[in-house]
Amino acid sequence: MPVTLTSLDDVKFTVDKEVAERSILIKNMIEDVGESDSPIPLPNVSSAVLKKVIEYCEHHRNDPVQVQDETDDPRKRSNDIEEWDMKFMTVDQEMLFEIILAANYLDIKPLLDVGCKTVANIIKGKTPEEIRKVFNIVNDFTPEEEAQIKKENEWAEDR
Amino acid sequence: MGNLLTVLHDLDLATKALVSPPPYSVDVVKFHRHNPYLTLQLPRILPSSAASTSSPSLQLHVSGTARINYSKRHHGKIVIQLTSAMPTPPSSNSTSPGTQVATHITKTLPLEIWQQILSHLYPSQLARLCLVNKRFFDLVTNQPLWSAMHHTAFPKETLDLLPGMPTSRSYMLFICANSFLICEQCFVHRNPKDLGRAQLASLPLKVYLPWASDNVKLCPQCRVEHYEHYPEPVPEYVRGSRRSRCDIRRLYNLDDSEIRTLTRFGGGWEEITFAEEDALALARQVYGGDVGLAALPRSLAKSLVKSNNRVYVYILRRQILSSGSVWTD
Repeated sequence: MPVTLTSLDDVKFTVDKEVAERSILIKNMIEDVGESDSPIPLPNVSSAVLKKVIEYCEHHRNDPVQVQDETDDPRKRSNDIEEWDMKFMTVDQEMLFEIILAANYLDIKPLLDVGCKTVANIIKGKTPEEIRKVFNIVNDFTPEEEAQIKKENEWAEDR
Repeated sequence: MGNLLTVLHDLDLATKALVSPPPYSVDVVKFHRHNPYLTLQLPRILPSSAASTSSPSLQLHVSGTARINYSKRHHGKIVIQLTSAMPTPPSSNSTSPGTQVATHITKTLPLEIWQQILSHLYPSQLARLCLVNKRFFDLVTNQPLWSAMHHTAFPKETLDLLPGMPTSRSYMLFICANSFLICEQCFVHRNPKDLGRAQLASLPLKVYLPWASDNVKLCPQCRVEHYEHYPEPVPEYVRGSRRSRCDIRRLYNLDDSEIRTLTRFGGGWEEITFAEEDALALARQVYGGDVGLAALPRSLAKSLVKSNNRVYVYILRRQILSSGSVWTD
């Protein structure tokens, strides 16, 4: 049973209903509208990003619906990204953030989760300067402000 | 698949100035939105007559998906700033995906998503992150983590908040001031007056956590739990080695009741010795891994003084701010 999705830039994508319904937003829209051939408009997602999102949903079409364990420590789960997902997330930063936003808008929790973990993994193990370099951020602290913050917020550095 | 920047020159027909040969095409393959400046050297114009005063006008045309932000002539060069792909919608708050990401990265994602990202980080990593820039500082200080940590570390106490700043910032400052004594994993706070014989080993010590790609300070219980899943190797010289009671006491800081649990050899007229492998395993349990053992002889006096000072500074700051004065460090 195919479903047609229309992106921000008016590109049409036809996918199986099962694949499209990995997005809870789309699932709800289909339920609300009922049986209909008209394409589902997604004015917040560009075609390039939607293409990637569909690729993810196709690959994960048979995954069981995740029950998020709220007591699970997210910090310990952050490295359990499967290999396919890791390759899938090897995109430039702009696309990475756009995938995360799309996953949020379309309500695809597993994809949002992987996206967030990917960004967290970029940050981990880096000094502030290295983080600035990776995200191309300018340091807008004065040297005095920086020294003050370092002093106040230092985490237990001992010799 | 680059952007093509074509520089078209208007020929000054009056002077028939020689410009060879228009148009100039520059392949902007290396253009990336993080380095959007392009400098072109203007070709030398050879005037055919001395009367020529007009300089050729430049038309800049870019094909592909880039747009020209501005162009500026400067000393025979022209500097062009290109801007990336898709058109920006009028809203500056880009919470919608698939649109121009020219805003700062901490603004491209909404707060709840940043909170989800940062929930994967340990306090020491967050403390480093807040130094990156003011936006990240705001993000980090607003994490609910800090008050949650206070709740676990000091369950019976309510924090005296610092006036004139967000609540969350007070929590973060207080927690960081006490960070020497708080475990990054379980958030339990250790009373510095109650460290027992283990002294420094009973405080959080750095352990490399593979999923954090970083050294994180864990308390002895969390260390033991960690080493259950990631056991420390047994050195060759320890296997099969037997040591006297005296050596075991000295090397592994075990007391007699603990030594009694070790595999013993000899007896009667023979000297009694104990399996060093057992001693190592037990000491690792008691002191939380090799890092705990290594910390045993180290003095924590200096670090404790520094830690106490940090807490004192917080209290002092609160007093000063509450009385209406300005806090300067």
